[in-house]
Amino acid sequence: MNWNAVIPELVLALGILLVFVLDLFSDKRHYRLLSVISALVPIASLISLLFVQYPARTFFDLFEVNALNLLGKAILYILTSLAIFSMHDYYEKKGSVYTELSYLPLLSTLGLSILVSSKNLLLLFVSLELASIGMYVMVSLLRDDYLSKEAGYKYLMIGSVGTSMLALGSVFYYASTGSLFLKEYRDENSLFLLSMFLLLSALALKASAVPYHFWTPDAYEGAPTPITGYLSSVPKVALYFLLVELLGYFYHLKQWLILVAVLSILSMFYANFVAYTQRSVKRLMAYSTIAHAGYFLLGLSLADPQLQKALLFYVSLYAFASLGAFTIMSVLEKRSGFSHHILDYRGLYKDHPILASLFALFLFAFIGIPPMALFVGKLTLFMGLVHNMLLPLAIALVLASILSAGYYLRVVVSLFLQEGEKRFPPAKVSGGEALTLLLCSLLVVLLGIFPNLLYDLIKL
Amino acid sequence: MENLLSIAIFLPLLGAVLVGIVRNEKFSKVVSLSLSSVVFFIMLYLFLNFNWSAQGFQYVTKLNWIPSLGISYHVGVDGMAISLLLMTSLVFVSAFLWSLKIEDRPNLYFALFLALETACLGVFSALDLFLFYLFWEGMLIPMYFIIGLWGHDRKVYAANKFFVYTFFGSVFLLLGLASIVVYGYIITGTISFDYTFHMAFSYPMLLQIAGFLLFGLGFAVKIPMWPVHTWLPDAHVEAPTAGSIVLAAVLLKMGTYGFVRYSLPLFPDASRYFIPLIFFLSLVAIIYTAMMAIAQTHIKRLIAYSSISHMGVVTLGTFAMDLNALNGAIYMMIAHGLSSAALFMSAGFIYDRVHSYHMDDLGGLARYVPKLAVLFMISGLAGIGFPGLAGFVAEFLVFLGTYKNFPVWAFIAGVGVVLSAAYFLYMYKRVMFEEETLSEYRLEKWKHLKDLELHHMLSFILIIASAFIMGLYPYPFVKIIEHTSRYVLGG
Repeated sequence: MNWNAVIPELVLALGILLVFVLDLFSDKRHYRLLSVISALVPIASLISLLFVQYPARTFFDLFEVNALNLLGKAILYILTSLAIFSMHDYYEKKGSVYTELSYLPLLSTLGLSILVSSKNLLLLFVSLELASIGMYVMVSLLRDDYLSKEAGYKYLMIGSVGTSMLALGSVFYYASTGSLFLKEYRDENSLFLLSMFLLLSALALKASAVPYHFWTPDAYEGAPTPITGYLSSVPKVALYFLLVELLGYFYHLKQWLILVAVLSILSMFYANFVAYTQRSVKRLMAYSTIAHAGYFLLGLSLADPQLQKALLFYVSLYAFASLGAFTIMSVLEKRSGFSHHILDYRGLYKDHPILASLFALFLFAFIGIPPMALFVGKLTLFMGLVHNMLLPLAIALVLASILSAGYYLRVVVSLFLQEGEKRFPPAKVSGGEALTLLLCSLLVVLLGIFPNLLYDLIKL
Repeated sequence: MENLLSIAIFLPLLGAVLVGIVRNEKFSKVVSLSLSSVVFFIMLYLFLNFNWSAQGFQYVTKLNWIPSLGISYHVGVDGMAISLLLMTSLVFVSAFLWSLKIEDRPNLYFALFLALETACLGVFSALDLFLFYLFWEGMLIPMYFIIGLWGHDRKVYAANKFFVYTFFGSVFLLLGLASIVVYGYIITGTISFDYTFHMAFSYPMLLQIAGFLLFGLGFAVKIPMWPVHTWLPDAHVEAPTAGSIVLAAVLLKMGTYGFVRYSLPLFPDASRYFIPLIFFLSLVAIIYTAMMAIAQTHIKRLIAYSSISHMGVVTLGTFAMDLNALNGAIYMMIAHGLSSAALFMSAGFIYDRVHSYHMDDLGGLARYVPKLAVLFMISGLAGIGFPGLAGFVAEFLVFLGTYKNFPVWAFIAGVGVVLSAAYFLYMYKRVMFEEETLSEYRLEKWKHLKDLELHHMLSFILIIASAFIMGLYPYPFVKIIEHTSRYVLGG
């Protein structure tokens, strides 16, 4: 048994146990300490990544490490750590301290970390469930808040539809190939096709692509804001690293391209239109996530290293920008009386110029304005699409991103150009939140100017 | 010394960062003014030392930047670029001089303008498609906030319209860039965003047409050409004076610059193929928007429409496929930069003193602000192509060249240009004369009007003196511009 390949997961698991045990013997006063410890656990895993020898397989070939998924794990760990750092102050200020929250994100990340390495549909199923269950709980954990319970319930119900599709897809995969191992399988029979359809649907549901997006706006809006930040960043990165892996086994089916194109076009346009009707910025950001799921799926339309590199670059940077944006929203939400209605964002620049500028930075990044890194993602995605003669899809992406500019701008307008009517107490940024914001914004700008720092690491 | 161009490009950005950190009003003003003057003198030095008989780009700096995507930091200038850079840096000096008395959030204001200057200078000197696009879009955010924060009543609407229109064009431009880069990759196996790399190809007709349309849409919105021009009057009406100056003098030139720099040399066959379309759009712009201008009572809106009309002359000359016409078109970019800047200064000054842009509220100002009246007249004459001023040389060259290949089009356009005299003189009459229509109340108010102050005078004089120099001694300018025209037309 090659234990070396799973060192990062082992470190993560040990860390979870450590925090879990510490949690048993401490009470709510120690929540902050616990969460700092748990935020350091992914950092330890990140360092342990350096000791992994790759490429390697272990656990009877269920689990594989290679350069690509190690990079994915590194991004997952950094994001998780930042997400945990930005959490504790929110819960303290909201008077909703559950010490379990210190290790639940780690559990989900453990699941996602195994997910990107799994070479077998069974392990894929188990790890995705491990991740999802943690997220269902996190979404519902906000004291005296009806919306978060509703969000958690909805997320659970629709998420289980995804789970069952995944299970059924795996069964059909087994039926057609005789094995649950993912491998090159060139035969095109209807069972295989059905399994591809179900697996893709299940993952599209987790990635919140239309028409499987129904949980997204409600879960995003109802969940405690730092958790929304987690939901919109960490699982997305893991999912796309997994999908790039899966693409290698399914792209030869001609239905793959059609399915992916339909999913992505529906997501882009549906979400970008519906976002205009939203009054809540948090819900608007949920639709922005759906629209981005559409952009990302374009990167999966064909197996082409350029296209997938573009996709992975784009989604990684999107995750940082999204985490940053939600962190700002959670900082603002700590003020009493703040809802995420767009009117509450008015005139933010006057009171908090730095927060408002950072928020604008992330919003402009979502639009795809250089020098923010998401622009490079969009550009390389264009190049990949053009290279594969997928011009209609490229045009669709152009139209969708033009369409999206309007609703992001509406938020920018209310931040900078309008006077607020309601007065709020000044927002205080905790150390953890400051760290998250600093790193996210730095990465978004720095990797926009020097994208090769990350781009060259993505080895397909 | 060979990095002088890069230094000049990034000096204002450095200034913007400094201004953002120090946040002291006096410091902001001193830094902005001095840095922009330094940039102007660097550009002047480069302009005077430009060798117009040599081929190719000069003052070139090329550094590896993102090797895996074939992107390099590659800047350099040819005759058109250095002329536009000189005009841009001059206009920014004027704009800063003009804004010395600003009271509302001065630090942010100057920081945004400095950032904008870097973006504008970068657009004209980038020789790498990625770098070009970076600067091209980089101008969007500062300008958005300049209109949105310091504008007039409907500033939010205007800023959003500006942003969405421009973004609409530039995403298509981005797709165009991606397409030709990918084509280069398929043909040669190396991926490169370098301009000179792409100049070596001749693309197949289909790609040329696609590329021309994608690039052209991006440029057309910025120029703006006729059907996509509607953002400009709104943006101008709402923008603060210095914002209007930069918008009219520099930002509009990015589109026409793009046509000359990218569309003509990269897609020569498609350019010929689309001549009728471009000419049609240009003529509509020249005649229809000039008529729109006559119908306005808002002086800034009138000047905005006149800009669109003049840009029609530029696109006409650009696509006439004639050396003189192309020279004239490029000359027109600079001449229009100067005249529109001066006109917007006049309009801005009138608003500062009288708090209205509407002709109904104005009238009879000539007696009370005589210095402005003189300068306003000269700026207007520069705009309508009065001999002795820069606009005349430009229009003359454009029509001379266009007439040779396309006499009918040139004739119709020439008739259209006459309209420009009509709207300007009409505006001048309504604003400066017609004293007899003034009410008692206004006369009393007008008596206390203060004429131009020193910093206003200085910024006016910089611009108008340049317009005179270019009008009276065009030879060196035409020679330098021809440096570009010759290689663009393949001569």
